[in-house]
Amino acid sequence: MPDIQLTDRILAQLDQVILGKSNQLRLALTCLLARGHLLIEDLPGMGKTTLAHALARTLGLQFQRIQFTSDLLPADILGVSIYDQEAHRFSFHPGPVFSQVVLADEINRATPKAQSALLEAMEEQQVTVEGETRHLPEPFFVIATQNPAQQIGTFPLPESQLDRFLMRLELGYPDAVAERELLKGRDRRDLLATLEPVTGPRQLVALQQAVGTNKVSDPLVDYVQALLQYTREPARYHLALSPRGGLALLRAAQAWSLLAGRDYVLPDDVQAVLPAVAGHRLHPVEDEGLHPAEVVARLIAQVPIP
Amino acid sequence: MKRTPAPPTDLPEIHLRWIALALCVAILPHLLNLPVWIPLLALAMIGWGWWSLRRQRLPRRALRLYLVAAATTGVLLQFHTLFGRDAGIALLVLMLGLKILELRSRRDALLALFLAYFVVAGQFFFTQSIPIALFMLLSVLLITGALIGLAGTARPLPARRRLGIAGSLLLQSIPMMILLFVLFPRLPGPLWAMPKDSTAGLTGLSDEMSPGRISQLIQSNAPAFRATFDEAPPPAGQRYWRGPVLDHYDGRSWHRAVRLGDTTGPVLPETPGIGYSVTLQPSGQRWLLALDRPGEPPPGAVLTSALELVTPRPQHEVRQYRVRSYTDAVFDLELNPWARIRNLRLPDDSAPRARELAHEWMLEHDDPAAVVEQALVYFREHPFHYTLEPPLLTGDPVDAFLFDSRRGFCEHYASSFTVLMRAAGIPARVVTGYLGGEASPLADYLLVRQSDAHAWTEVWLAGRGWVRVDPTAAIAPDRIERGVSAVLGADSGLPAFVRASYGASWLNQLSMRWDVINYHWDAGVLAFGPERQRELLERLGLHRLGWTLIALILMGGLAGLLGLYVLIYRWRNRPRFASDAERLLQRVEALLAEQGYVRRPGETPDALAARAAAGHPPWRETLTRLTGGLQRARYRGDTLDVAATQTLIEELRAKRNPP
Repeated sequence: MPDIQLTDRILAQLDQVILGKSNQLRLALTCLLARGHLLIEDLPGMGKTTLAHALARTLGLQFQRIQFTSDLLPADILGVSIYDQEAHRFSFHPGPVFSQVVLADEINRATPKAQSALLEAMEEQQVTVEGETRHLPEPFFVIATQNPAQQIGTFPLPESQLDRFLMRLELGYPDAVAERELLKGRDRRDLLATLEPVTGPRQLVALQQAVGTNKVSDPLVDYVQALLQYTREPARYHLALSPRGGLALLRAAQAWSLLAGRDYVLPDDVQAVLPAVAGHRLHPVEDEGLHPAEVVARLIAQVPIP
Repeated sequence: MKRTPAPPTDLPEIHLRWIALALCVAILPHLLNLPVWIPLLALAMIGWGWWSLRRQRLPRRALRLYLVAAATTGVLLQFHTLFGRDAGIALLVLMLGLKILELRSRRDALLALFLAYFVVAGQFFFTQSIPIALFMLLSVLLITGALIGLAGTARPLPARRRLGIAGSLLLQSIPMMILLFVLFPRLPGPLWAMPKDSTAGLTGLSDEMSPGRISQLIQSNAPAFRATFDEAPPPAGQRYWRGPVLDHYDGRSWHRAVRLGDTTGPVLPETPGIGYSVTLQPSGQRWLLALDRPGEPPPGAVLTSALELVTPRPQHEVRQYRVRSYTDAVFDLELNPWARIRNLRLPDDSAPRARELAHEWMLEHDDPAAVVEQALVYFREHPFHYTLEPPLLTGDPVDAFLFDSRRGFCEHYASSFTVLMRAAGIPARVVTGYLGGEASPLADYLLVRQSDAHAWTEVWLAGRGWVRVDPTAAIAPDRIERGVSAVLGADSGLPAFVRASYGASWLNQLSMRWDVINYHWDAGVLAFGPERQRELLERLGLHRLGWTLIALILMGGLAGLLGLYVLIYRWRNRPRFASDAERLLQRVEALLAEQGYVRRPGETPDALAARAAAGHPPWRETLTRLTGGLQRARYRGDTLDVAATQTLIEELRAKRNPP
């Protein structure tokens, strides 16, 4: 039985730092537990970095931040071998990607070459530099942030790259109460510095393994299949949910059910994670300008639960 | 002025395609019935409409109005009326063709398709044969398919699926059709007054015999009637089917006279007679054919003083009746004086040479029977020739035939023989009808075709009453025994089916097979008129109920059928549950739905429960426990405590709002 109290404590601590965003925090933790990577798309100043930082500290994980710019090179991410004068040999200096939590800030400002270096690392959980394969730490969690694509000087991620992120979240503005508390409260940076880890990498990996054991019943698979099938009917979406998307959905729903303190998955779990999982993967044929959350809400409303 | 095109249709092309096809097929068989330009014009309109719809540009309103006016005028010019069968159907066909030119919306499409049903049904005014009925079925299938498409879903149904649904609808309607067919009150004659022009095209004996009338009939292969005998049919030479009796001669043609005065009626002999039933094709005439000489008239017909079976109304539908005939019956032993005068009358200036000849015979013989014999000998000994293509007769037709041309067929022989008899002072008259009949090799009936039409003479002899004399037999005995084809060679210019060689051919075999099918169709379906319906109701014991009750039974039957269909539908779509949990969940949902909390497609059971609990707080706790258990059973695989769940459902029921 998973440690409910532990996950609740993690969420409670995060809630103190990021105010009024408990659903997004829960989704972010879900994403981590499902061994996925997270894409946060929002305007600057919405607390993306704070979220990544708080998550790393609370979970007791190493944290590195990479600021993506247009002149960023793959070596700046992965690391580089430098000749050691004293030892008379090359020694590898690992890049910031060798970290348990990596914040890839403004990922769409770097060139596709730099982007793909990170994305490959995400997918493979390993990095090959100068012919040598190096494993990334465990757990390994990438939080990428991205400015809305219409900004100048960006390289939007192609769909194939987007598909590698388990979830995409938007933080959005805090509500009035939360914002007031934020304005009156302590400086977030100070607050982060004082955060004590609630747990460590070991327990986190245990939790990640527990996710996979949460029961997925036949009726639930039926439902997930119905959702996938619905998106694949012709003339509905330009891009349907891929098999990878389907697996991601199920995995995320399992993680969500774990956070809810259950050891089995309900359709409710699927519906809870669906906006974050499917929002960036679906592009409806009609109503192009529709907000992704609305697209997914319609999908949920259309597909009957078997 | 810039033209403003009419707004294009909002129907998708697939619908237009179906509608155009359905309308074309509906109109097509009317090519057989109407002047050809009418259906062709309608088909052309559909083609034009289809083309303009595809170009998204319909003709302008003024042009359409002009076309309507032109079509109406055309019908008026053709038929001199807008009413009646032909004009009415013609107008309907044309308007259906025009309708496609304003097929803007779903509403227009529905109208056009419903109209098409009427156009299809209009076929029955003209013909009720099997091939046409099958074609109409196809037509109805297509129209229904088009309608199903219109009723349909966002994405058009594939053709097979449409036709499948349409076919299953048609199949479902068959029991209703049978019920209506059997029980719907039959009126004598069609439901509505049949317009006059509906007799056109029907062939049969008329109450007039003018030169050429019967030879026209002989050209026709159409069946006149079919007879089924209780026992063996009489020998071929005795198959005289009695039709109208013509006793008024005007010097050129024979008519039925107005008969004042009675007969003594047939003296029925001791013999039991021959019983048989006849399925008569629609003739547009009032005669029922019967073997010479009929006894009691069948219901709905009367026996005239000349032993004709006459019905009050012309036969527009297949009719079946039973008769018993007595071939050796004697009748009119005493000839009524009026009848004697009538049957001796000749126009003063007619046939002078024939009269002269008859006078000689009269002076030679005292016995009228001997005169009859003398006349037959005359025919036999002079070079008379049996042909269906006699030369045109100039002057008095009887004299010209008897003394000059001597070429002719039954009507010439019967007519001139009767004139000779009258001139010799022997009462005589022409009897028309059919002679012969082909026994079907496959079924137990005798087929009599229009080509078997015949005319003969009846003379009245003291002490013997009316006696049948067939002068044609004196010339061409084969005609009597073996039919027209036996007498005329292959070079006679007769249609193939009448020729002698035709009888044995495979084509004839095929045609007889086909005739058997037609016979059953006619006898079983088309002949189901008021009399047959009354018989059936009597057999079912329903005849005493009266039409009001029968109508109620009919409606009850229809409602029952509909109910049955609903039940079958529900049974076939009954919910099938994989587990108790699903079944019980269904019950909970039904209970909630009763109270207005209907589950939306994407709503999870928990969400529904939460919504219901929010709306009806007394349910909250029960619902939480109920859905918790059910959800764990469904999604975790726990075993469900069915009894406890049922208790909870009862609890839920108890706590609901009073309905």
